[in-house]
Amino acid sequence: MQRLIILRYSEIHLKGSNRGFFEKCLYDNTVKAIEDIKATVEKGGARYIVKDYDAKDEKKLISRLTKVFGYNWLSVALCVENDPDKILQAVNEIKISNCTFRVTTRRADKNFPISSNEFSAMVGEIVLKNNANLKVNLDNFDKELKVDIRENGYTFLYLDSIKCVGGMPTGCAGKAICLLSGGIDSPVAIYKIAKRGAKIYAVHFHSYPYTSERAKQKVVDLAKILSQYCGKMKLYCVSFTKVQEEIHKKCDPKLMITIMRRIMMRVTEKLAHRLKCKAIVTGESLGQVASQTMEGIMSSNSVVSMPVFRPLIGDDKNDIIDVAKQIGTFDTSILPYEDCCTVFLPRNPIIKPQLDYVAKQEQNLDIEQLVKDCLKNIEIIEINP
Amino acid sequence: MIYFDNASTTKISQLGLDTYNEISKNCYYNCSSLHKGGLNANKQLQQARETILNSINGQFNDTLIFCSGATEANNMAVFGLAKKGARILTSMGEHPSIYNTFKMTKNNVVDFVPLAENGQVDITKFQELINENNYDFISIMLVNNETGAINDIAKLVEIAKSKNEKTIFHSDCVQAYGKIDVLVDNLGVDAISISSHKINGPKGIGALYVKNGLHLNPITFGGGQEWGLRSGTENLPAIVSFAVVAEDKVKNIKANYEKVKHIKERIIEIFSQNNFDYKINGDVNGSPYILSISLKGVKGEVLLHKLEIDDILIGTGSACSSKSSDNRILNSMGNTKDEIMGNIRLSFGVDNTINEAELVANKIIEHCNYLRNI
Repeated sequence: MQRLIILRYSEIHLKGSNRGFFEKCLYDNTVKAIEDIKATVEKGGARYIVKDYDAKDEKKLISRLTKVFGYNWLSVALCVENDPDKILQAVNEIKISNCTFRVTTRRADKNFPISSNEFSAMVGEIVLKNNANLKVNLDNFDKELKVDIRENGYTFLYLDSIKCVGGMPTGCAGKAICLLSGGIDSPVAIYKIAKRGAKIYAVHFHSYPYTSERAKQKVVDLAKILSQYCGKMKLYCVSFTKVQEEIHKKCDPKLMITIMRRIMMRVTEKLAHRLKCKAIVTGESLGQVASQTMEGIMSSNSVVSMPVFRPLIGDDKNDIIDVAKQIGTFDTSILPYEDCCTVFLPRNPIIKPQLDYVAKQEQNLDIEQLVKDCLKNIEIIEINP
Repeated sequence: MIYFDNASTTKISQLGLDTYNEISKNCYYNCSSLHKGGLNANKQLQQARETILNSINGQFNDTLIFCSGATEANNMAVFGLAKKGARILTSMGEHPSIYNTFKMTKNNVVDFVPLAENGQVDITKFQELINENNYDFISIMLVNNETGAINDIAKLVEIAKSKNEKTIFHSDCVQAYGKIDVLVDNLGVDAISISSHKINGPKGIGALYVKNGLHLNPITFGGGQEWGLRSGTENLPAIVSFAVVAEDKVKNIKANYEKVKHIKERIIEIFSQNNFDYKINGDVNGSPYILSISLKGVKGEVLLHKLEIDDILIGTGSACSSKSSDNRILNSMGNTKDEIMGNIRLSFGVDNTINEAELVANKIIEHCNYLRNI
């Protein structure tokens, strides 16, 4: 008898002839997620099994595996041979606290000598003998003990299923470059797009010394939290100080944010080409701040030709905060180190920038040179979970 | 590296470090142990206590309780000396470990006396509050940590005790101890808090002095160390190191004062020679260890980061953040929001030099000229 972890796919089982590609991707990500823990990963039907681990590592494994995109549920199971006596003996190891329960037997091994219903009753009897306070209820139960008698000669016994993050395996959908500020929204946007299978490259624009090193460190910390879901990633820190100073000196102050965003997008697209990314991801949510009006988004979108994904575009702030709390980025995001100094923030930013006026103001800048300078001054930080 | 942020913490002195290492290596015993190692440790502890009590003119029968630092000492004073339902007076200029602690007390009425423009407690308002109320407990700091303003504690004690001699008067002396005279008999106080790491001693150690006869309730419970007033195994290496450093500081208090005063004056002189636009927060004749200034058209935090590129480390009263532009102390002194945002704090130590002062003053002028023109 050994303990093991059963992982169940999310929507990969809907895939057709290319399912193997997604399964391989999921397998690789699973192995990577637990590479520092002694355990083996093997495929078993429409699921993966993690086994041969030390008991002391089980909780750590569960914590890691629930964060691997591509799985919906996992269960910790006891594994025994398809022998009725051995299975019934293993049932004694399962402790169920006072509640209503049922036993469900699935008998894929048709050579197993006892019928499913009959065997469920035998298992239930042992469970009741071990805890007289339990009550059987086949329809309205709190716990379900599953007995999965498999064709390969082994039976899994498991009680609870733990919810995993779902989604598609990271990397199966290609590469995306994501703007990561120190705020609440952009980490959530990255999480959402990574959940759909994108491999993430993050880019952060900082304006030291107008902002502090702590603002940059906060972004590194956020990337580290995200890497628990997305796996290892690279964070590209772009010095944006010169750009902000130039805009501040030479352009209409009301357009500060608009022009900043446009230059950020240009730099990001160039970087995306360099990294062979196929999309840009931002944390914009319609109408949330002055630069996230339709006109503002159109203005920043119009300087790039690559698709720009905005996974939060229709989300309320409270919904975004809920996800941020759930994935663990919220507490870091609200630390009071801002990514844009108040020196450069206009009192009254333009909410609906007119493209021709923005373009005219940008003529006061050597945009091409500024973008080149940004791309020259990039610090690349390797982020490991 | 030029370090002008000594009011936040200081580098441990060689004397302090050597003492700390020596005790850690050779007298690592538990002061409560019955064996000879424990007895020796306990002797060192009592000697350190006596050294510090002597340095503040405390009496042999007064109580000096070692703890983790000034925040704990201040909390012990507030929760241990002020009884439930006590009427309390403090100031708007206090350190958060006093101000926020009073805000937390539920069964007390707490009044906050405002600051005058020079950063000292507004003595007229203080007198008015004393006349109108009967305070059981008062806590006013000696030297303000942000501006260096020095309160006339002896006078405040006199005002308070002439109305009610039973009023307990505590003073947070963290920025004063080892830098200017802190003599409990001259000040007339009942309790003071002091800290080691502000005077080149080790971090994680401080003390609360309580005059003989006052009843202090403990706020932590355990093995009964420090007469049951602060349980927990004594941090002997830090305690002895603190005492040795404190003794040295008090012995050299005048020479150090003069040295640091010249540094502060030289900076002000360079600013004046260059017609530099700045405003001193607080009394120019306050503690020479602290110089708080506001710079029009400059964000203090941006200047801080500009200077750190030059390997100059300073402090600031407010973060360059739209969400945290307030500063209770500077606000209470009547500063505008822009003055608060443009605030920096230079705080000096005995290791600083006149050359450093000149370099820093000139760099501040240079960076401000740049920042004011972008």
